[in-house]
Amino acid sequence: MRTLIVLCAGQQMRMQCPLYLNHYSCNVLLAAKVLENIHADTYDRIIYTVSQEDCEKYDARNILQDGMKDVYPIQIFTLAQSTSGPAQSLYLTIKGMNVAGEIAVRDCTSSFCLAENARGNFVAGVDLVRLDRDVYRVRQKSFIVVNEQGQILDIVEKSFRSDIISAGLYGFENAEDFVMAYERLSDWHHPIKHLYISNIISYLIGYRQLVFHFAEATGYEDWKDPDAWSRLQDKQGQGKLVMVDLDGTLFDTRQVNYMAYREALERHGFQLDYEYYCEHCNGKYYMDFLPQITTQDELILHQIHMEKKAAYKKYLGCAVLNKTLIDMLRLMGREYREALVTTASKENTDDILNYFGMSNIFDLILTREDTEHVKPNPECFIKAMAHFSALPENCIIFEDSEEGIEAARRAGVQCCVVKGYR
Amino acid sequence: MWTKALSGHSGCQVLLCESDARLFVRKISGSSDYNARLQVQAEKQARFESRFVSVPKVLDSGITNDGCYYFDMEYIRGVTLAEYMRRIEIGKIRGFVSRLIGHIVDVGNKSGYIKADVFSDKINALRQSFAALEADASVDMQLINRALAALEAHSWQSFTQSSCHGDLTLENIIVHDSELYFIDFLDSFYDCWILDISTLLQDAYALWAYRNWDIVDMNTQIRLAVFRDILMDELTAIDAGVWVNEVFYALLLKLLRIYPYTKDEKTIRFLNDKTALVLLILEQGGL
Repeated sequence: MRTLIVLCAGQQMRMQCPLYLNHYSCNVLLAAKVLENIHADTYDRIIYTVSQEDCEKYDARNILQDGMKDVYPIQIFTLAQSTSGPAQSLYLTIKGMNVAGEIAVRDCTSSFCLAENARGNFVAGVDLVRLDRDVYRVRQKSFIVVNEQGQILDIVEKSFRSDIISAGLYGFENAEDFVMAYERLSDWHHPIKHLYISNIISYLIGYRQLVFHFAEATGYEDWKDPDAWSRLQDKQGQGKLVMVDLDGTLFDTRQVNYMAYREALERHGFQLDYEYYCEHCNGKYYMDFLPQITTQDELILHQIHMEKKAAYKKYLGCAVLNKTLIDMLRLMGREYREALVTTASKENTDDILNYFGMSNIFDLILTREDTEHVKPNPECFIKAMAHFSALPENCIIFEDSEEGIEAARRAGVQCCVVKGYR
Repeated sequence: MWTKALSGHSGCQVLLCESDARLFVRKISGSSDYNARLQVQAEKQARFESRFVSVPKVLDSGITNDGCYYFDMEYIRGVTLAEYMRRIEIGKIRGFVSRLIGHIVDVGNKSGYIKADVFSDKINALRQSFAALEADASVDMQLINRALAALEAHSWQSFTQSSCHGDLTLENIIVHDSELYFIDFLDSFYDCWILDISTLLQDAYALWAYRNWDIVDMNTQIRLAVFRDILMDELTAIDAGVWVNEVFYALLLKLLRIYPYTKDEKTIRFLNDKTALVLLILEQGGL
């Protein structure tokens, strides 16, 4: 049993409510955002620890349950009283929720990405030398001393000892190790107040000689940093939105889609010519072109489409990224929210974004499954604008297909037409 | 000769000296009355032998123009273990504790007999000293009387005569190149290895060496907790743990002996807190 415990108690306030109850982009709760890119799906149980006060004053329990309902099933543990620090909050959670076995503890003040799924005893940390930005109030962080083999030799609070700071995720192979150390450090003989999780780990390394591994975190974003926070708020407040099509705009996927359709169609005894595909089919919803070249039988058409989606992954190496557009999005991202709005299926959209390591760059992704109508119907664009409360005059659309350009016109949004970029 | 005054204790003056481009430390008796005690310390340091720790070499000794005894010793360019505990890599504490215990137990084996009335005489003398402190509101006399009663009721038979440092606080251990050096040996009213362990615990449990720090930061506290727990484990491993309670009695006696020499209220309050803690441990039957 692996349990992930997210500590939300004792957080800073933002916008008149606790930090973790604020929203990141595309209405993602910060409390949910902290689970992204840390392999949260590999945990059997996820517990959020909140204070009774937050539940009463800010409706924390309901907001968390609502905000997490489409993300992961979670349990909520309520702290009846404020605690002396994170270690006590964790201790009470372990005892109160009967947690045993392997645990990881996540704080709720930052986001980052773990390339590998860390297990057992570990601490996720950020190498300041490799980080491309300054860290806010760096002296307030926990510093980790790591040897060449990636083993943690020491972890200290608020004292410069190394170039590596804790990112806010700690793993214990056995919850009992944490419990033992906490009880020893806080008993009546020599109570140490305001214990941090790092203090417990330091004790376990020194006294029990447990081995803790270093897990490198990248893309660290500290929400306690007022500058980072105000940048986020500015972006959210301006109501500016750029919407980008996927096939033919962000990626040249003609080859990928053609190969996938050809493979699926051949299984059903149909042939597909590449030039014909490029001229009449590319960028269109399958029901708008497959019936003309195959059959009217919707069951067979659906089957072909499913097989095409499955084959899509195999040919992703043929896709070409529109690097110019990516550069433009990077610049526009300082002022605009960014949405990917596509007729492609969610499965294929996720496939190609993951393949190119771009799953995090958009604030919103709308795929075929999110709308009733397909382009040139403007429903998808209107839905994206409504999501960010953006007016058409504050938006820009990047499109390549006639259907997409027409949908942009009907939505009343200026359209930049992508004419090819190979 | 260039000299710089260093902080000294026990009524001695301590100077860092440079002569012929060589640094050394000179320890001078505060008055001729203290000469004999300082000479015993110098001899203790000169005779010192250990497989686990070192001492600064005694280089010279003599009498000043004022008739005060002095001795010169090698200067060890390091920091005290009390200071070093702030930033020691946590995994290295075990090695340090093992060396300290290794040395203390090693010399403790060369044991002899301590007269039974040594302790009862000292406790009686303490009771009289406290009678003079009864007017001092900062001294918790109820606590002191409980502590004295506990000391009087204790049998001190297991305390046997053996070599020891005499004042082994973390401030009297210098760390240099990962080596431990003992300084400031002291003659106590009894010499027993348990005294040195109790002095280490006085710092690890009662934070005596840190009493004048504004804040003992969390990292230092965690390191002291690791030091303390490893020390207690090592102590418990000796003779099936029979010494654990004895060490706490020795610590209680040490704390009470500090009161009569204490002038400031802050230290008195500190002693009250720590005496209460140790007494509670003993009253509850140990750890």
